[in-house]
Amino acid sequence: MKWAVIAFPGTNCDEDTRYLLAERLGQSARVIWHQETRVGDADLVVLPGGFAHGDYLRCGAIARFSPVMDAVREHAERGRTVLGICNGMQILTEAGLLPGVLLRNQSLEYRCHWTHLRVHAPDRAFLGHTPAGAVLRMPISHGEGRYQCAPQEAEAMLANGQVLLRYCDERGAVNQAGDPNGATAGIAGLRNARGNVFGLMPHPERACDPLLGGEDGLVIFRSLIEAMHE
Amino acid sequence: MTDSTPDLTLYTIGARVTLRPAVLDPQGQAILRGLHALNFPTVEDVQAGKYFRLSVRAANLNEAMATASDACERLLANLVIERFILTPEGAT
Repeated sequence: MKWAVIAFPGTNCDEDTRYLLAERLGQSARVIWHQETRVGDADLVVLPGGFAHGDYLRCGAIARFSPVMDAVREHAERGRTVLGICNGMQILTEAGLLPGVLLRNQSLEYRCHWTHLRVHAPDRAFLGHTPAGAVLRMPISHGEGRYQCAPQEAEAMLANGQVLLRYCDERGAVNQAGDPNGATAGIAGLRNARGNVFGLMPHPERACDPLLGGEDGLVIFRSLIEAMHE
Repeated sequence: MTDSTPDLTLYTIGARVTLRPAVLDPQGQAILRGLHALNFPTVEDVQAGKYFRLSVRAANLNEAMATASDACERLLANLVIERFILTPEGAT
């Protein structure tokens, strides 16, 4: 599979993501600078974590206007896969490729720790065979990760399978104790209605090696690779 | 011709962007707690927001306000969670 990892000024997880894909998973992966106007022949596009354009104005608000984003939007409109991690998810919401918005954490603290995530809805493309109710462990690292959308929109997305991951405690219960930022319905990751754009605030690429404390993030990348081969 | 816009005026427009009332504003709440700690018990609420001063060259105030409004809708405010108020602040 060919992966394009987009780097904006201030992105800082592009190399981690490229390393994981290329060195650990044997994929063809290259970093594409935000001034480029194409994503080439990439099958999958990743918007990695960081602080694109310094998070000025609002996270992701300026990145939306970077030249490469027209190509990312076109890629998504063609039904191809886009994965947004952390700042990448913030960019996807600002660009209107995912609904809702990410706001300052309720605690006002920058949170950088491991979280538990409950698989709310199974999703073949992004989560493979992981069943609903499974608990994954991945770290977060964000100051503005409080997912917000209208309550009725959240209800609809919880019902129709767009919400894939919710913060939970270690036993899998979705509650305040497991929620690091005060997100609507504890939403940590969701996809668009079409099912080809997925954004999540936790960092799966930081949970792909026992040395780093866990490998639960691998399920996302492996599922995407498998789905592309089908 | 040295000036291509001889009939246009430079208007100053203030744009205040704040969270919609239904959206939790932890920053405003933290500031409110700080004010209470400083013995401002009569301050009952604080809303934190952003202020932009736009200098807009336009033929008239309406045109300048329309440009500022468009700028707010497309970039300065995220209408999913924010709203904005424009105020004319002068012209030169």
